[in-house]
Amino acid sequence: MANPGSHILILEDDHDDRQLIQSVLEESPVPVPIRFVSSGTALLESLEQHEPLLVMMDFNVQPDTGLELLEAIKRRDAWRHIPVVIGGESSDTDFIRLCYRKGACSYIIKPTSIDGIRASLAGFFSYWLQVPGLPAGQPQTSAIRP
Amino acid sequence: MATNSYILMLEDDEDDRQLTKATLDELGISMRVHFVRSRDELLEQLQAAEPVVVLLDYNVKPDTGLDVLQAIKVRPEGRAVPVVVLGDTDDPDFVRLCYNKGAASYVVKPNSYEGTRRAISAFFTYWLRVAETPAHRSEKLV
Repeated sequence: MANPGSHILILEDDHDDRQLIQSVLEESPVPVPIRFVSSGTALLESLEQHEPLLVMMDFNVQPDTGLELLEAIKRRDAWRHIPVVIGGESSDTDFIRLCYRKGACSYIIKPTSIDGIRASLAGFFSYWLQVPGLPAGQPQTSAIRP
Repeated sequence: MATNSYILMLEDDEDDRQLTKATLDELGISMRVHFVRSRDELLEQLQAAEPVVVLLDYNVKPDTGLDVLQAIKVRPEGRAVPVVVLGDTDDPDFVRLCYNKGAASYVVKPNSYEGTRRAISAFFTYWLRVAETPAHRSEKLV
């Protein structure tokens, strides 16, 4: 497998959502590079090349569903440890349970307002880039620890 | 469901328990933390009621956090519950192993009081106000 990278891999095909994600990350305490992909195939290809810090996937990018992709990642021994967070629209408990059961590290409901999305993304980045240790290494010396 | 939401934490250190509770109070989070001291006690509680998230101090003897994580993940009632492991090392192989075995996060315990407080705060903000778990809906802006 390729060398660990220091980027976040994001499956998102909506141009506006990409811009929003990028702008929130730039304001975060640990702005790491983002690699955007528009399809499941491109996501898997990117994983072959560079191990990301984590994967964030929009559940609704066609034609694959987030669950199929999640399973494809978790089936591979070399990829199983990569943290995968799913963003979706459903608040159905059975669906959320299924995402975790298949190996998602978190499930986040995409808010509908811009302010809601910004707040959610800011919370996402400030957690994943500062609190947990990640298999591919730390984005930088953790800002949360003095 | 919401009123019975709770966090399940394997932690035998009294100071860490107090600090966790005090930080929750400061954040204005009224969620209950159910502390357990052993793997068996944790598994029993897991069966009794599904927690929002499970926190495992890696160093609670005689089991290791990995033993407990695996014991949770082989159970039907544990497979979908996010489990966060708290440990002392940032050794990449060890961190990888925790995620490989199904940890939702691995968090290195900060070594200062202030660092610990900030980590606890960011931790609960994320799991209660950003992410959804099977047993809990976050309180966030829509």
